[in-house]
Amino acid sequence: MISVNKLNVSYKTDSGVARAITDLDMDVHEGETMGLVGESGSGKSTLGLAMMRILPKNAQILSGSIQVDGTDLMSLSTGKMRRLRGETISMVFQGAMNSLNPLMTIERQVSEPLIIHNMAQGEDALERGREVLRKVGLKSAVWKQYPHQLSGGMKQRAVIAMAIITNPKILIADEPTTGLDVVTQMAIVKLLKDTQRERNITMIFISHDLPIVTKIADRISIMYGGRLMESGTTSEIVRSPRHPYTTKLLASVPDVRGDHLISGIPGEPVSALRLPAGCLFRERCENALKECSSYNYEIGYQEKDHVAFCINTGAV
Amino acid sequence: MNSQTEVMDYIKGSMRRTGSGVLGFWNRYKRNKIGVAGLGIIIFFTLMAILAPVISPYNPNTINSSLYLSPPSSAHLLGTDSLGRDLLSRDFYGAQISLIVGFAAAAISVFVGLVIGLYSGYFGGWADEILMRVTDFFLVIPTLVFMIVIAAVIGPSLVNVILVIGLLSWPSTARTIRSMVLSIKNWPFIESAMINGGKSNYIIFRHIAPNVFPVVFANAVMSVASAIFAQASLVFLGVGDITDISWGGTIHNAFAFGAVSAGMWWYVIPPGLFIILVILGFTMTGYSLEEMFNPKKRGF
Repeated sequence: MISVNKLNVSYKTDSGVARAITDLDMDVHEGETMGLVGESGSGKSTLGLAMMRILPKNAQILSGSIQVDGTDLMSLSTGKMRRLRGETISMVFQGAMNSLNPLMTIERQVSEPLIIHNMAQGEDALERGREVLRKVGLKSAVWKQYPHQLSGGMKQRAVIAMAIITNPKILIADEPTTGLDVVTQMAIVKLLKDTQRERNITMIFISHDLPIVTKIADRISIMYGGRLMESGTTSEIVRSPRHPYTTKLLASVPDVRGDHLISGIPGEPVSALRLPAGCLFRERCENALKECSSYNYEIGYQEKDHVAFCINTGAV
Repeated sequence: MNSQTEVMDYIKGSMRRTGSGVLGFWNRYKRNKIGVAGLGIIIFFTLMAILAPVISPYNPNTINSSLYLSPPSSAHLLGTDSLGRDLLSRDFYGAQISLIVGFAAAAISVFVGLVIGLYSGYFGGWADEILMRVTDFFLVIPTLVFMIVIAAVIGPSLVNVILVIGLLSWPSTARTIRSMVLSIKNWPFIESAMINGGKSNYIIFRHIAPNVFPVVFANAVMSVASAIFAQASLVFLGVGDITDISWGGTIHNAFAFGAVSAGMWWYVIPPGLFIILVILGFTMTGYSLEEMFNPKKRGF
């Protein structure tokens, strides 16, 4: 369905060129949910933006391709790409609070993709908007309200309704639960999961919150410094992680019942402006070997779809 | 405070307006004494313009050569002009031209300023560069002098005066709108509209324009004031159709016939006072609207 091949993206900044994504390969199959996990600056949001082709002006795709159903998105004309956006590929992104126009009623805002893509107009579009709003659990009382009259969770539901109204094949959810309280987070995750199942949507769920991702994703890709560290099914990642970074991430999750201390990851994430040679994680890694400084990202572990980019996977 | 927060405050201000309807808007507006006074003045002059044929004691164009430059009397409350025409009637009729020129020229100037500001701010890059250099050009030339030159070249008819004023006073609106757009276009709901596949024009007119509207509205009311002033100045300086009845024209006549040095206050003061009042009315209203839409300016 989606196939990312050797993708390289960089940003030109005042302090130099920042490598946001380096040699990224990723395959997402039809109807599955791919969880994309990483710290801030790991390139996960950049990947989402690249898939929509709405990268900021200072970003540059150096090489590689992103294919959807065999079509290379980079080769499409601006007009064709625009038609794809919101119709075939939709996106729910960070900060739903602000992604609704303060001067539009909820029902009008939600039906907007239909109007933009000429799929429905006027009352017809609004009616379909209300239908989707009902589906995401928003009652008729809010249909004619404005964004500031809604709670954060309600706004996020409205944003999801807007993203699915055109029946897209692909949904990119970039940190859709960030900024919501825990109870609402779970409700939003459940809504996304149900919607994805019901409509057989291929979903990419981007988050820094590993526990949330394990609740919704079929497979998980762990990113660090713009590179893929490990990728596998959710149970493979959670039960038998192969990359030390994954292990560390899992150990950083607080456990309500147990009494184990949270062990954070020492050190700081690598700067995209000065990526070190060799393994990017080596300076923070307890299992680092001398060879890690000349590591060239050969696959260190592979079993079917489960891959880890580390030469010392045995030590985990 | 950064500019984004300021713009968000504008938006929230207008949001409340939309949310609570016209009645709610009026309820908040009427608490503003300056605004109510300004609106009262505007209504007063609008009524004067509409009812001029009814309230005027004489036909303003009737020439009575036996009665020229007569002082106020019970027959002619404000006396007569150099051709013996009733001055009170002419002062009433003058409201018509002032308001027509004011509204029409303001409409042109706000429309041009809005479109240029929207496109310039939204597209940025070379389009912005070109549009803003043109704006700078119009901003730095001495407007009144330029207006006189243009009006002299294309002829001083009423329509031409409106066009000249309208097409020369848009730059400040364009600049204001542009700076708001620069801030609004970075808000996530614009990105959201792009993600939904919206074309540039759709995003500009459907998403950005409504959000700058409150400022445009306040700006438009202020523009009416400056257009009225510009028209009065032009006519006073002799640029304009002398057959039109206008306050600037009456003052021009008064000067031409030495009425001012002869101490004929009834000739000059009423039209001058009307000009001041009507400009004050629009400025007060515009100021109050801006204050309402921008919570930061409240409490003055």
